Amino acid sequence: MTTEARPQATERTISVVVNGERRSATVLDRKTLADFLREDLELTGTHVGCEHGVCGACTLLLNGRAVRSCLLLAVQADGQEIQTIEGLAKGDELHSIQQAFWEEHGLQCGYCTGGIIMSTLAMLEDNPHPSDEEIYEVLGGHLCRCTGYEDIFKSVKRAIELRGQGR
Amino acid sequence: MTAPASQIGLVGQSVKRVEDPILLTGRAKHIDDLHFPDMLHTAILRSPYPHATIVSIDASAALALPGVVAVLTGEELVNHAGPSRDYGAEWYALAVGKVRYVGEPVVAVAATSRYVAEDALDLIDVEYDPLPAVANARQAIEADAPRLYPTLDTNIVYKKTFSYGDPGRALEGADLVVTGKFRIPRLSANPMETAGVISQFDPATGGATSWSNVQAPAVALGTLVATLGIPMDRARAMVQPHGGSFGSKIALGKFIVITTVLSKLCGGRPVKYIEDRIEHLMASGSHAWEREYDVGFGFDRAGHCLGWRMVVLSDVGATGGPTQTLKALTCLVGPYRVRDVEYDITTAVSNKGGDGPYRGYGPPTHFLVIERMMDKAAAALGLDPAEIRRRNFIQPEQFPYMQPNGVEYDSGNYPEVLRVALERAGYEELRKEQERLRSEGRLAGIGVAFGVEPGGFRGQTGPYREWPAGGSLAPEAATIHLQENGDLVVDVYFAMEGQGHFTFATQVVAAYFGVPMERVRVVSAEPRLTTPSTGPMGSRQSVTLTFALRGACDLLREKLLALGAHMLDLPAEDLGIRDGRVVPASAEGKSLSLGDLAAVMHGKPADMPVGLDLDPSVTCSWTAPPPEDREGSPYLTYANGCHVVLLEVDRETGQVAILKYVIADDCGTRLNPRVVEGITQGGLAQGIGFALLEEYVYSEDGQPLSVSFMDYLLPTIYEVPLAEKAAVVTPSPATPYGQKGAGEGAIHVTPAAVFCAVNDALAPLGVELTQAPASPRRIWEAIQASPSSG
Ligand code: FES
Ligand code: FES
Repeated sequence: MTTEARPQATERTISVVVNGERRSATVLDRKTLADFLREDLELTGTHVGCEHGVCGACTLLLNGRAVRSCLLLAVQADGQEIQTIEGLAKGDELHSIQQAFWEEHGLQCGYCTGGIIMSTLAMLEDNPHPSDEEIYEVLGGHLCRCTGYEDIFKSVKRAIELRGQGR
Repeated sequence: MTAPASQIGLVGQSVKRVEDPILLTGRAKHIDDLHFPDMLHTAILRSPYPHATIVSIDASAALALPGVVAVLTGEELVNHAGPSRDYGAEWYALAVGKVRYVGEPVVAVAATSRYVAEDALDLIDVEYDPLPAVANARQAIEADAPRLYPTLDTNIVYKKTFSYGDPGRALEGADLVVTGKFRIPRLSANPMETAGVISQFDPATGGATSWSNVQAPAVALGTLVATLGIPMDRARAMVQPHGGSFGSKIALGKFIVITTVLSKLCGGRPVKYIEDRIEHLMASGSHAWEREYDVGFGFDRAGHCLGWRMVVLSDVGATGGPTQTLKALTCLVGPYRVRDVEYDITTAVSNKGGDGPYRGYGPPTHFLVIERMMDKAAAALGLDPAEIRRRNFIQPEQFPYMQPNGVEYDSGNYPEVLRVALERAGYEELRKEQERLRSEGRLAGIGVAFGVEPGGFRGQTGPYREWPAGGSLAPEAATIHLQENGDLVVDVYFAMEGQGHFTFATQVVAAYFGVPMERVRVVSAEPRLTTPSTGPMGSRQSVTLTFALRGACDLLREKLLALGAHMLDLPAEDLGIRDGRVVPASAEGKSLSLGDLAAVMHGKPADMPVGLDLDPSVTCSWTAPPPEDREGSPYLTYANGCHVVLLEVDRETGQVAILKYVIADDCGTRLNPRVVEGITQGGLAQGIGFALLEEYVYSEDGQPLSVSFMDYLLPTIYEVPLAEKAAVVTPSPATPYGQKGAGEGAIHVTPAAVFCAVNDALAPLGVELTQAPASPRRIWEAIQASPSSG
């Protein structure tokens, strides 16, 4: 855990529910939500690719909505509910979206994958039967440098199928 | 060389990747996920000038900031580290005396958090005296251009003409000579994860360890030893999984140097540095391929290419050499039977970010030029673009094919790959569709492009002898441990990176011993100087790692058979390994499981046979034999591919819409077809970025203008076509399964295919695009310049 040595920096105590667990911490006002999760809560599955809101690697769910955690401050999440990629699998059992990405080779280096899975989850919670255009709209907000998107698209289609089978 | 049928099993099957569960659940530990006790964080103050003398640096206020532990300048750094050298140029990890590009590291701060370290940067006062800057290679080569390096009396770091046959006579005797000038922008890999390093100096021993996402661990070890003077036996370089690299993380030298020296200044505390995206875009040191081409190609009336001359001027920014331009020598004639060829290279330094490897390592621009010239000749001769290529192909029976410069292609069937691509694309229908669109006044274009892919990089042989370190080979190592329970643990000496290496390694080893994949676990082990190994680069691992793995399997097999012979009381020659058991060749009688043998090797029971080598671990560091003649190929295999694309250019906006994209390629046997397809699609995406979007733009006075993802555009799912893919399989004679390197194939051809198609679309307007990327603005300007758009 990083120690903040700057005396004049203002900080406050926040409390969030992360993956179903209540966590409280004292954070610098200026600390991003991504850094807070990664450094203070040691949840390093949320990746940072650009820190300026373009790549989508840092996507997580805040009260069920997909947001970019590099563009939010930790203090903005105070009192709210956060879901990160670490919260999806139950032990060794993958979530159906993760399973779909595995089956359809939806990842190569896997760096962008957590963010894409979280966006997919938000979409499917909202709309279990998205059209191809709607899938494109969601994936269009993510950069992946490895896959050329084809297998990501197929993975999302597969995830829809698995979900339809109640998985 | 060829693997026996009994060892093929899972090899060639699209099994799910073993890498995925840890990645999918967010549990993989990338470099920035590591937190060590007492760790410090680095921020780097970078040059705002393209070229300036450093007059003074005052960092006292920064050092006084609570939380700041050390401040490092170039002047101090030289007391701990040597310079990097390339083709006569010499520089340090932090600027010494002057800066040579915007973004060059000048001062590094170590503090208790990155936030504090960045605060400290604001408190550092650097006084610069700006110098006239060299904006590009054209300026750089002028006689009175400002010089970048005192160690060089010119900005030209490399100049050489490679001439084979008689290109002059070939062009003079040609019925048709087509000429062209092309400009290729600088672009780069931009993996989604930037570079990162943690280093720790050990004051007690003088040793140092770096953890990083370096692609080639041997290079990191080399930096510790050669640049930092760490004794060989105390230099350690650990590797973490990567969020992609594509060449950009091959060498992280300057960051390893900066963090190690900072750690030394901080009494041995671990020091982390994570490059941010803006730093990466501005000054990663991995910008690539900024070139100008001036070429002439000669043809006879039937469309046979008789020879060509290519003059290339490349701009490698402040640090870099000609190596990515030299690679074209390894695939000089592309897929064509051309014997009289000249390749003239000039490489100059300028005041822009440094040059570094990007997937493909140069040839993508070479093929863009060759393929466009083929189209120009076809148009002049009234031939179909597919037909002119067919007429010039190296024929299947000519393999192994010796190029005019002595670099050999192992295998291929280019006419078949073209045929399959055209068939899949429905080429005739596609041409009709184009006619139909054109008749509606729409700008539709078709591109048919071909390229070859050097793979299975074996070292700096052949044309790479021109490198300063030329002449060395590139070994690859693997270790297999037989666990006490009979399962196998395989150590490889590089990081998990995305290409599915761990998966095919599992397939190869499991198949060799006939055990299920679950009984084999591949891990990334600590790379060691005493276990020579190189890591992924040059589309090599499907070839070189496979050789290392099979070498280790052979060693283990030998031990198992010797021990089995002893235990079964049979001659070792009469034994074999099948389904995870040592069995008599007759398949009758007693057999032993790997677990039975493992138990003995691990010391149980007590009556171990005396005199046998029972070490349950074996290592093979495999090195490809050097090519027989001095020129020979640095690559063991040559894959190839043909892309066919139909696209439409919007007359009003200059925007390109891809309507159909087909890839046929031949990378021999595919160890895991699904993985190969994914990599092909990924290379296609990067090729689309090259052809349509990506460009590092600099202002006239050398300021980088593409320093965010809002300015440097990576392709999204909207720009990348989901391509139809077909496989042609011509097994390589050089490898155990007939496989060929496949990691770079698509990016070799996509830029050419799209560029040819855009020009085909513009052809009715009588205009030509000669600069990549084919951005809307460039296309729109070309359309405006058309005589018919008046
Ligand atoms: S890291 Fe947040 S969008 Fe890129
Ligand atoms: S899988 Fe590597 S960035 Fe998407």
